[in-house]
Amino acid sequence: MALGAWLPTALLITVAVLTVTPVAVALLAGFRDAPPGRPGAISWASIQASFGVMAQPEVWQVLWTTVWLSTVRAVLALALAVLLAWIIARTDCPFGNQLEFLLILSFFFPLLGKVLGWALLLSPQKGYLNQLLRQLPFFAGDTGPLDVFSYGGLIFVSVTGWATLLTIFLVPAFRNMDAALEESARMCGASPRRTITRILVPLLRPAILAAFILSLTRLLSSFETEVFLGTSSGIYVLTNKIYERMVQIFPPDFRTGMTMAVMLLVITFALVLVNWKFLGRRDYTTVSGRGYSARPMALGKLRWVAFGFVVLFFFVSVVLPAVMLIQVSFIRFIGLSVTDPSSYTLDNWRRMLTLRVNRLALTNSLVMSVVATTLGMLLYSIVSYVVTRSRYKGRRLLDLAAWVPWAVPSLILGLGILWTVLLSPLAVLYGTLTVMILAHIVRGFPFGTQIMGSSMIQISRELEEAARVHHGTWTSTFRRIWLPLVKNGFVAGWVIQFTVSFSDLATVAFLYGAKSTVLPTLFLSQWSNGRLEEAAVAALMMTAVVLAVVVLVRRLVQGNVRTPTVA
Amino acid sequence: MGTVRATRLVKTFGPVVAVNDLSLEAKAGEFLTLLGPSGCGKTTTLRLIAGLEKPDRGEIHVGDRLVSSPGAGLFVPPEQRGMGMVFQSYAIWPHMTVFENVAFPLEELRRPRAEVRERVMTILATVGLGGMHARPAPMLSGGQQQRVALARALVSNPQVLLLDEPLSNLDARLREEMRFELRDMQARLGITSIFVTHDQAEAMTLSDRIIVMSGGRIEQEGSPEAVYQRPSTRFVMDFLGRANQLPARVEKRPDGWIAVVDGHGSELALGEGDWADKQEVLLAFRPEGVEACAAERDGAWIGVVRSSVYVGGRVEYVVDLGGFTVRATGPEDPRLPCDARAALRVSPRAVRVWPRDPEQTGTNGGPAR
Amino acid sequence: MTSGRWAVAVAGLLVSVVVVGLAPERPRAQQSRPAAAAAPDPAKFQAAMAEWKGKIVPAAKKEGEVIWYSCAQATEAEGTIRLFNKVYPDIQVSQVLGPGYQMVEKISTEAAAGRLQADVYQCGGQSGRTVSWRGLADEFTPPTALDPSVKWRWPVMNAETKLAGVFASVSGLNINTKLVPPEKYPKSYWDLVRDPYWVDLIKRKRVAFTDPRIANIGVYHTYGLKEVNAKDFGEPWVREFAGLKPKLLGFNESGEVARGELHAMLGGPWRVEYNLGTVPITKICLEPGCVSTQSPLFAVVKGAPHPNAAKVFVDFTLSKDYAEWRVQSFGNTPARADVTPRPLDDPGKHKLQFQGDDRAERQITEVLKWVIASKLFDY
Repeated sequence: MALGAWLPTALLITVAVLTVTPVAVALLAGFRDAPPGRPGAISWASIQASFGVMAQPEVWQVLWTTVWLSTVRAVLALALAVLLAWIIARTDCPFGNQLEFLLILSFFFPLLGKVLGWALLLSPQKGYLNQLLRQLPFFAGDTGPLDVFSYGGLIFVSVTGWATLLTIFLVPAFRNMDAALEESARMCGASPRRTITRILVPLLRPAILAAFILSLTRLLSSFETEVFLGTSSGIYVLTNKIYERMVQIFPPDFRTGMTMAVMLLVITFALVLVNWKFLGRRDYTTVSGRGYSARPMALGKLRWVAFGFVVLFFFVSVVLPAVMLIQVSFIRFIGLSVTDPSSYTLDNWRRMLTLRVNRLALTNSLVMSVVATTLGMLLYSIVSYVVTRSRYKGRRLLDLAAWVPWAVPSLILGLGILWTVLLSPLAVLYGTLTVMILAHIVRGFPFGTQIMGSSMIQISRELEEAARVHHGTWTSTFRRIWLPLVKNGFVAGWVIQFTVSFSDLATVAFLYGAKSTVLPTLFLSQWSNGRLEEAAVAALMMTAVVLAVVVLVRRLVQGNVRTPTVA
Repeated sequence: MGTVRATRLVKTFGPVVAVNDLSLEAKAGEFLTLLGPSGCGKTTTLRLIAGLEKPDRGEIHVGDRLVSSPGAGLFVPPEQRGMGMVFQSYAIWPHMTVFENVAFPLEELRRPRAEVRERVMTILATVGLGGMHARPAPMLSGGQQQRVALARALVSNPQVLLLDEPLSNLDARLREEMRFELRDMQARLGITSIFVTHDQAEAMTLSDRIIVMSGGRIEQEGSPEAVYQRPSTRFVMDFLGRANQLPARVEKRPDGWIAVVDGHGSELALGEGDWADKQEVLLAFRPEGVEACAAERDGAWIGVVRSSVYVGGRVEYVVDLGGFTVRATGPEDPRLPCDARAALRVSPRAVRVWPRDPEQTGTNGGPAR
Repeated sequence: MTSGRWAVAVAGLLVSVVVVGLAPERPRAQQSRPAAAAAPDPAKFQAAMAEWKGKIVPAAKKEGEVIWYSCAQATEAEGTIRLFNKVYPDIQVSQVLGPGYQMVEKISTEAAAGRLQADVYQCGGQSGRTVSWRGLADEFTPPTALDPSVKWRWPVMNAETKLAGVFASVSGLNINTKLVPPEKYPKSYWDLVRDPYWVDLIKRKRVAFTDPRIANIGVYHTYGLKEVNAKDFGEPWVREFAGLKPKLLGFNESGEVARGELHAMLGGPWRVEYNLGTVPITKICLEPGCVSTQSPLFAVVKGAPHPNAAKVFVDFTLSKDYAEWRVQSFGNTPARADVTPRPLDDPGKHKLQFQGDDRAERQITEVLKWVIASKLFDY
């Protein structure tokens, strides 16, 4: 199917404008002498002032915290994920498939829900788990022993979340590895542990390294955990410090905020460059779970330990916080007695479902996510088509443009889009759902084009040509051959994009307005307003809607919606 | 009806000229093979005929209908050319059943449902897939996929069947089997077929006529026998099977021209010809054209057996002829042992003589007489 | 109780008497002036009402919507909207909730971008005044304010800022009654930084302070102690208190005390749920007294997209029904004299009261600047 040259060129320009402009604006705005929307200019003095910010020791303190905290979390999450993926993919651990399903399920449990759930379980004084622990003889005192609003708590909650994602990412890689290599190592007398460290780890190094850089990049730009668990206890990394400087203090210190945003951008871009250098850009090799008849490693009695470990992980990362959220969502006020029936109420749920502002947030979330995801996936499909199938000369450039947001933390992407909008004729869109939809579309480019590219590269050109030769017109070829073949990739991508759009706070934190509140911003407002009971309802609503949509979509298309790699 | 005529086709991809001023004609009901090494332009030619590529220049007629003429700004899209095609990868749509795959062309032609069903079932039975119609495409073996692809290509009774190396992905035994079935089917249906392959054995066994291609041009066309026995260029000779090549020098003798093998002195009569004295030439002949038998002493056309292989009914020898390696054949009995002396009897009809001047290679060649 | 603490308490009491006698003269004196300026004028009221009924209310109904930027709590906003819709069912209210200064910044950005979304702004004294000082508030006098039949405790329309100071709130120390036994309740602000019991709690982050850098009420406490009671408390108290590094809460949130997550919190609003009775929280005043501020304040945003609905909304907040509900639910003191406040919440009983005093508010802004510059609370 030949495309005229102007069409892909128009596409290239569109994509480049969408992805590069917010980044460029965010970078430039860091050197401006006034906040966006106010008159100002970039001058020598304002540039000096921005560099002056970097002279503050506090900035370097925050940077250092960001780096070590992200590294520690990435390492721990990776170690946990390698263990989990190995148990699921390479051992005779009982109910392996069901365990994998549990992990995929936990992927759909929004991070915000996890954060609130653990905040309720491990708040130092009233945390239910802490109260239980204090019943034990060796914990004295009226507080603790654990505190979720601390480095430990932050690391713990982040790690459980990231390990889930990384496990899903690593399981296919583990599964596709040739078991013969592993077995021959065992035959040569290597113990299971030596087999893992000497054979498995080196073999899987590319996948593991990719997973590590992936999680490091994302953890550097992680926002939700930090703003909810870090800020109140004075733990600042770049993201929540940027948010604090720009939003939470008065008067806002936009210069420090923007300078830090630029620093964060530089770091994430550098990491992406490292990734390209050592692991190649991106390859479309599909990591499918196709049945490799790899013989699992026999663990003997230990297999039940392994089973218990995975179940425990699921329990900790999903069940405990979810149960906590459900309980709190029915309680009148958290301080009230848990055993007294009069402490319980349906009011929180009633409010969620009847109050205009809450209903608005729910419908807005749905509209925003469905529209952004659908439009986005269509756009990503067209881009992927041009990149993988056409002979268009600029297709590498197009691929690159679609890849740019990968290196941009969502919070800064939102900021860049806010400023772009405010500084352009698009200002009429300020505070509308349209801007948020735009932001999610831009955010989704790397993942969307990755998943669509992977599924398109699998469709050989001859499948299309066979239809054309056998009396199929262009349109019916597209409809009857092309669409059904990319459908699974499209649906899987749609579900994941939807999940992220629906529950992501960072992208929209700077963008929402009076009539464009969505569930994550409602959650933010409820949390900071001290209405944790209703925040729990909002988090559960997010979970319920995401799960319902996943189930519905699966049923509708009856395709096998596996969660593919998030790379 | 059913003829395909291409005139002076040119197709370039960037700097690469894939098809260079090529003209061909497939007659009605003919099985025409485009044979050549990869990159010779044979697949591109087929795709030009199918309408999957647009030519830069030249015209294509199917029957009396002009389907492609860049000069006239005419290009009939593939779906309107009324052809069937079997692809190298079979291109069976994995999201459909066997029935759905085969029914596709008829459905696209908007045939009534009952007719579609009947014709699909008939063609499936014809290709030997009766009863498999409900099977999902991914659950087929390679040979079955091949049959589905064939059924799909034939189901709408196309005027022309295009086959793009359809047998190359099959294992050897299956390939042999399918080769005959394909030929059989084509003969029964009388459909004009254009077949692309790089396998000369396939080309030999299937074709009515062969077009040997190289560098986007036609090297030679003719019946399989003619092309094999009387290659008009060194390229064709090399490509269509193993050939012995001996450097020689032409000498004028009273009874005509002879060629003397360099450094060895074996002679071969060339008869009359347009030769120059002392002209350097190359003698080329196929192993089948040389008979090896036991010899008592050294002399002209006598070499030493280096190795031998039994190929069923006959023996193939590798003979060292004064430093040159010659492949020859002989009866299975008596079989010459290694290091035995062998007399080579070269049939002059089997030998092609080409000037050795590289610039003239491939032209001006002629048979020894 | 030790004699030392008694001495402090007595001293504090004495000081406060002196302070009451001297310092608050300024606010008192100032209060009388605008009161005189806004003398009821029946003719003006008639004219305003005519325009109101003939033009503004129908126009507001046509607009059908008002967007309310507020630092109210969710339940507070919810109740306000419910009551408002009883009177004006045709006008939908969308709320944007957040800390006061965050809202001010948001409005400023919107205004500068020429894309205003806010119709009504509502929060405490300082951020409200900032709206006015930045020229973001419309000059609008609700007709109810002109009504000769309504008597006001203080001039409801602030002369300088044109904000509607409809209510006063009293802020003190919120204490969890389960965690803190009554005999440990502090008497004076000094107890918070000197009594080992409280020092220990503060150091263990069990006592929170409304972050004075970002929330109105924290600055008011700081101002009251640093400036108004400079002699007995002053900067030394602020420095000692900040030196203990109390937990700072960005949004004025007392719920953590009620839940038992904190033992106590200085500042923070009274919430509807606390009236359930079973919630273990109480509010006490420490020497030299509770802080009584003009809060919430309401302003129509200049250039609001729904100007008439905004006016209708602000006028509604002056109604008797709304005043009664706020007294019931939050213990606010209404400007309306015909609604009686609850005993503890009567501003007349509090020594640190700043409502309607523009000069004091300017000084408070200076204190805010000092707090930020001192970096005392940057820990």
